[in-house]
Amino acid sequence: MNRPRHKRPASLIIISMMVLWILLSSASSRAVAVNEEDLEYAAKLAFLYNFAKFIEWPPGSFHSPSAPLVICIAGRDPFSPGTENELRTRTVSGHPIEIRPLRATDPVGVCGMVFIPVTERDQADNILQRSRGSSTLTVGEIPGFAARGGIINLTVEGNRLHFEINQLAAERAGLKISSRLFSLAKIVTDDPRR
Amino acid sequence: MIVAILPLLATTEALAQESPSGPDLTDMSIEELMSLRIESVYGASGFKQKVTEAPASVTIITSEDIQRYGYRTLADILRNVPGSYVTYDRNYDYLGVRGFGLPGQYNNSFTLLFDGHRVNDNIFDAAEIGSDSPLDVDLIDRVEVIRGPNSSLYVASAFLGVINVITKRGRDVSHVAMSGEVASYQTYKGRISYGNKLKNGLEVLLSGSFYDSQGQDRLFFKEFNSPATNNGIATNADGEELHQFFAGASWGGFTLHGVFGSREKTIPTASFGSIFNVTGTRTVDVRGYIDLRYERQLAHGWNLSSRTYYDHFDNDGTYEYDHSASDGPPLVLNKNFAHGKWWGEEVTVSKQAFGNQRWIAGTEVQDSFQQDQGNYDVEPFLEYFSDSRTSTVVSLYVQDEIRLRKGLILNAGLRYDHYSTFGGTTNPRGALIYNPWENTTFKFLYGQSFRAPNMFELYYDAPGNQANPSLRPETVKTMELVWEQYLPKHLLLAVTGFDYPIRHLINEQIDPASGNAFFANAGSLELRGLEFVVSRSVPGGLQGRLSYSFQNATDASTRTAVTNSPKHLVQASLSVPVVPHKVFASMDLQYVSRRITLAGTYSGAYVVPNFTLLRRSASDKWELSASLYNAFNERYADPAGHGLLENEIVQDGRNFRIKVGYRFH
Repeated sequence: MNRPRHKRPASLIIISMMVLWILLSSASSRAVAVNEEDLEYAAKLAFLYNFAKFIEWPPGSFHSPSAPLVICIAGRDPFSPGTENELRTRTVSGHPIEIRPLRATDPVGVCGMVFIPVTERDQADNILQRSRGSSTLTVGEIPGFAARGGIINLTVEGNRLHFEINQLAAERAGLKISSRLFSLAKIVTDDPRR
Repeated sequence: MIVAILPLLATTEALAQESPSGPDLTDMSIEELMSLRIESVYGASGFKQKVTEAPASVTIITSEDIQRYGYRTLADILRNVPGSYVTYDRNYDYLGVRGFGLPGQYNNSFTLLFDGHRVNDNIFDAAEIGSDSPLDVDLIDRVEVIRGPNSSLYVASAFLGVINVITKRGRDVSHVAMSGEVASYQTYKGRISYGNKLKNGLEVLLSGSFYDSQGQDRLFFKEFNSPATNNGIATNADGEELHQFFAGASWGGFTLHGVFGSREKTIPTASFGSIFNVTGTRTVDVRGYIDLRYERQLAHGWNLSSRTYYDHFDNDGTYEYDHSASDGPPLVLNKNFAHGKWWGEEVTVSKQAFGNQRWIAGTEVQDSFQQDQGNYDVEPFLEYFSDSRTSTVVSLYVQDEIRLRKGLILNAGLRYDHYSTFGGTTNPRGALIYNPWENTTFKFLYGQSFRAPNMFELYYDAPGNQANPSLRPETVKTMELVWEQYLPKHLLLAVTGFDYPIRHLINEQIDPASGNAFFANAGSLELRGLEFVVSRSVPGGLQGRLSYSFQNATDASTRTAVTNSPKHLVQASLSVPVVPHKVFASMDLQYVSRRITLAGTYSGAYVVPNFTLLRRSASDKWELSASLYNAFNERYADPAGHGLLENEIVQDGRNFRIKVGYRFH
């Protein structure tokens, strides 16, 4: 109150402009828009991409060397369109990535990989059943998903993302998982009670 | 001061440019992805909802923000939320949003939830957001601030907003974490927490905190500036002591939460006509609850969730009075109390139809079996007023979310509440969420809500006050238009326009005949305004936000401005990784324009910037932070509420805090 009045707006304007400048200043990377709330799912989508890189599908899974790797998202898609589009520009061993929704009646076999978001957990068993006999990599984010027969399950521990691999389930699908993935994963087996 | 800040900002700017602050996640290796701190764990809730699809305007604050910006209380967190401002009367903190925040209203226009449990008590409907909060901010995983009435899903008094606090889980702490703080005004704080997720699936988090502060040793109040009252200086009358306990456990579908807090605060303001410059005038607030939740997935996409809870609230005030003017003793201790106990049961059923529809229906019964208030002198004993009540609230609600087509969501809800105090009320809510293009969201929000008169407003009858059992609920109809635009490089632009007409406002009045204060449904308010937000949040890197809010609150009948309602708010925050993942320099700033006081004068505008430097070890084993609050030593004051002789209450000047945290794995 004893301070000269003009200083207050001046400091406010200077600081606000500095903050705005820093916020708007261009960072060098060509990163896609990820708001803070979507970080979890942006990271999970990047995990899917990494899984694809370290997993070998059985011969004949792709019609041709340039056939797309189809990643299906069951039900409600939690990923942001921006990050999905970014992934669509990538390839895995020459296969372009295709992302498409999986509806209740769609065959699972056409998917190289299917992701079952936590919101669709009631559908998980159904999808796992429908994927039997195909070489579809099933990825979930549902507690106990891998023990229920899913191949990979994403978990969050101590504010960080981890994943579980059910080796038996991978073998059943004829998928070869690189040792690098195994070394980072928690290995689980089928829950005998089921 | 500004000159000293400039080089710091210039350096951070350079670092922001150089540091790999914008890594594309797709290019990260699995190891890098696994080291990323994920703050928003939607997967845990099971009902993940993207912020862009929420039927409200939402701001999220994470535990990472709390550490980086050095937030000490929920009030610190909330004053940085766009469009919010916090008023402090040196006992309680009051939140204002949309230009509405009457001093002394105990935050009864907001619902504060801890893990879905309503924290507002059953006498004042008060939400404890200051140092009186029973929850240590270090245990907060994230805070969702939802503007507007979400009362079709939450209990009443979610009148202007819901503050949803989600606490950490055992695995987020594993195993033993300790922290210690030293701050200005001889303030010390310590916390010890144990958390773990055991092999058998049991997850536990236990924590206890202790806080002690001497407070300001000298506070000047010009209304008491006379030799008889120490020239307006209250000495050593600002101390407080706080204990907080938290227990959380989950196993299978069961989640148990127990929260307990007890705070004693010395009141330096001679409130309610008590003696100035004494240390015996104080309040003790005790708040605790146990909440047991059970969730079960049934066949065909059905979910069942049930919640049983028991709550306890005690507010005990001791006031020193001088009765010598009326030939009584020069020192009489007066006690004022509000004691509440209640329990409740809530059952929610939801159904997720594959892909495009989901609906929720629920019912809640809350039984307040103790709602006692009273006021008496200790010696000589004289009871002025004593009131015991019980009441019940029964609620039914239903909400449906329909994906009409790609990019178009309709969200509609209806809630019926029956209060034993005044009867029933039905309130609808609707939202249309439209994504015309990938990164663009428009939200059209409409809601009706009410605030039930609380026991204090209905029945408080101590001398100088008058009960009014015929109070009706306060009502609001909210209209809001939100435009959110996500841009490359993690930028978000948001513009919000709102129009909230409030009717039957429950407002404190003075009866001209008796001179007594009482509450009446008097007046209507129009809250209108615009909010602009630019924010950027690079995963693990630079983050910041700049917002400007124009809020015009007017009394609809008199066309005059509303008490404690700033027209302009500017809030800025910026956090820069000086050394990636290890050292963060952060700043937040609030500008609040002048506000009218109850006496009709103005509390001057203020700018308060706070700075925090955080150093974290690579393994997250230890953490050290240093904060400087009100760095420019701005002298400012907040408008005072009813019951205070002061027109304005002086706020803290420049002050600091040093905090150390250590974790045993």
